Amino acid sequence: MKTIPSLLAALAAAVLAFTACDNKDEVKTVSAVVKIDDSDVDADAKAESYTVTLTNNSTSLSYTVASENSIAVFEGLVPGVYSATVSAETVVNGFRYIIAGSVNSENVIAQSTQVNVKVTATKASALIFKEIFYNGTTIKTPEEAGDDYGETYFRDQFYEIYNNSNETVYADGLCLTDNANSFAKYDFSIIYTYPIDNPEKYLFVQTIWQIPGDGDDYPIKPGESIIVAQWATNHNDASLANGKSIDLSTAEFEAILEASTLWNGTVITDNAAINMARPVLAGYAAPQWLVSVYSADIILFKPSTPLKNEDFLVANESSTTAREIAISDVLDAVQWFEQETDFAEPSHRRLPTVLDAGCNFLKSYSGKSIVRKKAGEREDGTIIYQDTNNTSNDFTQETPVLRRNGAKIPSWNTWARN
Amino acid sequence: MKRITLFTICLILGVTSAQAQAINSQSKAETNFRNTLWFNTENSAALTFKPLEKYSDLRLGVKADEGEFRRQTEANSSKAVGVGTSGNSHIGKFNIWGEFSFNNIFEKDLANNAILFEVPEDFPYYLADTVSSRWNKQVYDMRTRISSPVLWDGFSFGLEVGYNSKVGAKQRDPRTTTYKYAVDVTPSAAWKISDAHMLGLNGYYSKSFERSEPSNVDGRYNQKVYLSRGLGMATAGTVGGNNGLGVFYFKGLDYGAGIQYNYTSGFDILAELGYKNRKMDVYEQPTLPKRRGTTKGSVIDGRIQVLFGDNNSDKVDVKAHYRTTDGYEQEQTYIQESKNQHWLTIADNKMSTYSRISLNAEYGHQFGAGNPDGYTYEAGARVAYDLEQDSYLIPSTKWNWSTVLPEAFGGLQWSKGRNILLVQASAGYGLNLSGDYIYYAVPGSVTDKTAEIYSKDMAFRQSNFFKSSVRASYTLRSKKVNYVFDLKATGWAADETNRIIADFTFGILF
Repeated sequence: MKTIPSLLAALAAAVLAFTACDNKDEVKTVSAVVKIDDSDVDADAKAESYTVTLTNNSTSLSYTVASENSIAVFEGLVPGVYSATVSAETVVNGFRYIIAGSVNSENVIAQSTQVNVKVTATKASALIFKEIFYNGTTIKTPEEAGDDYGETYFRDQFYEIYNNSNETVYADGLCLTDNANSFAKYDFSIIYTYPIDNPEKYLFVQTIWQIPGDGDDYPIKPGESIIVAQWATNHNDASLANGKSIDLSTAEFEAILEASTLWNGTVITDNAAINMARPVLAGYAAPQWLVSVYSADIILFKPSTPLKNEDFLVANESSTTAREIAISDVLDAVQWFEQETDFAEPSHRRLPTVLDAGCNFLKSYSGKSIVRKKAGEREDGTIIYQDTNNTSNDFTQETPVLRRNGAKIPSWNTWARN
Repeated sequence: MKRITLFTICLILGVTSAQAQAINSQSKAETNFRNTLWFNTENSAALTFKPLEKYSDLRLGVKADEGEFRRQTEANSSKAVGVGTSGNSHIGKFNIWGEFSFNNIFEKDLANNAILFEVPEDFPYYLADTVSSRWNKQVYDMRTRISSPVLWDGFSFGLEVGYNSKVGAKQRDPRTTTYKYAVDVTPSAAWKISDAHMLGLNGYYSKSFERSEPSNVDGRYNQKVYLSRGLGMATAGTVGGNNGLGVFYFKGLDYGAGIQYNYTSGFDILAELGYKNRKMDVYEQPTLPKRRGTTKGSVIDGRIQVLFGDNNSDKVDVKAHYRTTDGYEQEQTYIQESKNQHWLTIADNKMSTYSRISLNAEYGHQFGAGNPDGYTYEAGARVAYDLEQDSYLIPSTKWNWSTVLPEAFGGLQWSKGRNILLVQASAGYGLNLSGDYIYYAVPGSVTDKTAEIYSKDMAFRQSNFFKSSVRASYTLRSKKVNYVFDLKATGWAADETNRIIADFTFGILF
């Protein structure tokens, strides 16, 4: 029986020996040095310190520090792939500048890995998106319809553009577009790139809708807004959304070239709203403009050079064609996804950080619009809306309402007053 | 699969049915395994020298499992029906033991596991959802042990082969169909040095593969899931949609070895020490493989069995188990080469560590162990101790608990004519000695929700509980076969939760 204690002792020794094994595979954390290149920012507009956020792409864990002398140091990072965003706001001569930049998928696997981020500045725009209704309406739930699908409706999309400044601006020549189809393959397995110098200075789009005018035809005074509708009709009509949607017949503009009849017999009427022009069509031609209710963006810009409807760029990875627009021409931009997980992958973000550092998440056909938050009010009662170029912070979700919070109708919109 | 199954059943029944039966009661059937010390090791070769008594059985059973006293990744309720057969005999000069079983399992109220047939406690890389679902499962299990004749006047060789196939289907979006296969091979050798001393060696090799495909029946709604990384750390994922999660592959490879020593001199003592190295790789999407984690670990098992007293009436059985597992997370970057898009691993970080020590000791005494129908009384006690210590690197997370469970057990057997009734009972109290879950979670975040799952698991581990079981087994003997009706219930009762498992088996011993 003496054997038993001996064997027990041997067993215990073996267990202890394995327990005591040194952890040679232990992770060695690393550091990253983010260097901010603000050479493209006017000297007056540069910030003394930038907010720098480093996010691990696979775990979504974020670390934020303030930069000193354009350098931010991050310690104790797990080696991996990181995204860096840099942002700041400055005020020069009464104008607010948003300075931002980002890089995606930087390998941080060695000590003191240097990550370079170039930032650019955008002057806060007078014209901003105040309310956007992109995600459609559920007319009948599956239970109400008695099937697995229900009945949904997407022709009631609209974009309310507001004059957030204290000066009159003009809507003439304003353009609306999105880059959903020209940014990536539908499943994001291929992110398209285009053969152009300094591609980081451009967005690549397929369809551009433009407000007509000679430059002073459509003034928008402070506190006024214009509505751009996909189709400026009363969508509560029994033949359309049957009381479940919104009446857009007072909209100022509609993205329609002319009346048409769709394949399913729906007659797209030409309404009182002013028809927009479509100066660029690099992709599929639809009778009216539909932006994805699931995952897309909307870009408001005023072109600094004439728009061309020829010599399109062709993606390096496919036959997808697109027109380049300069980021410096963009007045406002907003992106959305249905799932937060889609946006969590940095390579899926369609808009550069300087235009939109955040994102809206809405279930498709929820009948909700995104509504910009109030930031203040002028003495004359006009509202100032929050605009930090981060839609995660700037917007809330509400039931759609036209000209919410007392936004005024421009004087030239006579049909809205009838 | 069906051919293999039929072949196995025929083999087991065929080789054993013509044998004279010494095993004529349920208690004797169980004592047969209790007393064959080498059968309880990973060495099949030594069964040449100290074999099981010949027997065959065929069993049909139903089982019900109900209650919340369990881990969060397990179903709160399940029912199972099963059939099994096993037997031991000789073919020529070879000793052969075989077993086959099939179980059809219907689980209810299973949350926090949206992808795996079962979630091992030291495996962090799986998908979780928080909505309870039913799972339908099937398990085929086959195992055989063969030992050679005596060679060179004292040597023998053996082989154990096991194969199991598991199929599971989650019954609510996000749904998963999972297929799991595992095969293990354990070659062994034994050397009978003298009548008193015997030495054994074995190797071990096992390969497993599980393919799990999440999907939605209702395509209108994508489903949120959590990609677990361990101890509450997780990231969000989606099943469905253009960018939803794809097929998951779990590939396991284990290997190891063991050594045994047996001394016999008025008593029988057998000591075993084994080591296994384990690895499990997780991939997603075979056409564009993305690594989802790897576990690497080792297991050390030690066991000492001592059989002594008249007719082997007393047995001491001491087991020690040490397991350590490391979880590695691969940091990958997407390479977008023309027509050659792929994920490139740039770092392989050890983020999780799991370690477990389990100690079990049992003493049992059989009164009337030499009776032809089996013992008259039995009594004994056992104690189990478990210590788990786990950690996650960043955010720094700690998880540890320890519990001791002492139990007493006893049994009575009445025999009259063709009838044998065996009644057994046990009772114990599980005392939690320690328990801590220290974690970092951002309120409202994914980690906040997944940490809640672990918090509930810790509450389960920190519970003190009563455990008891009762069993009644009736054997009706006839000339050729013995019919066994076996009813057993085991219960756990903690402050706020409880659990009961009841199973009934009808079997034939022949």
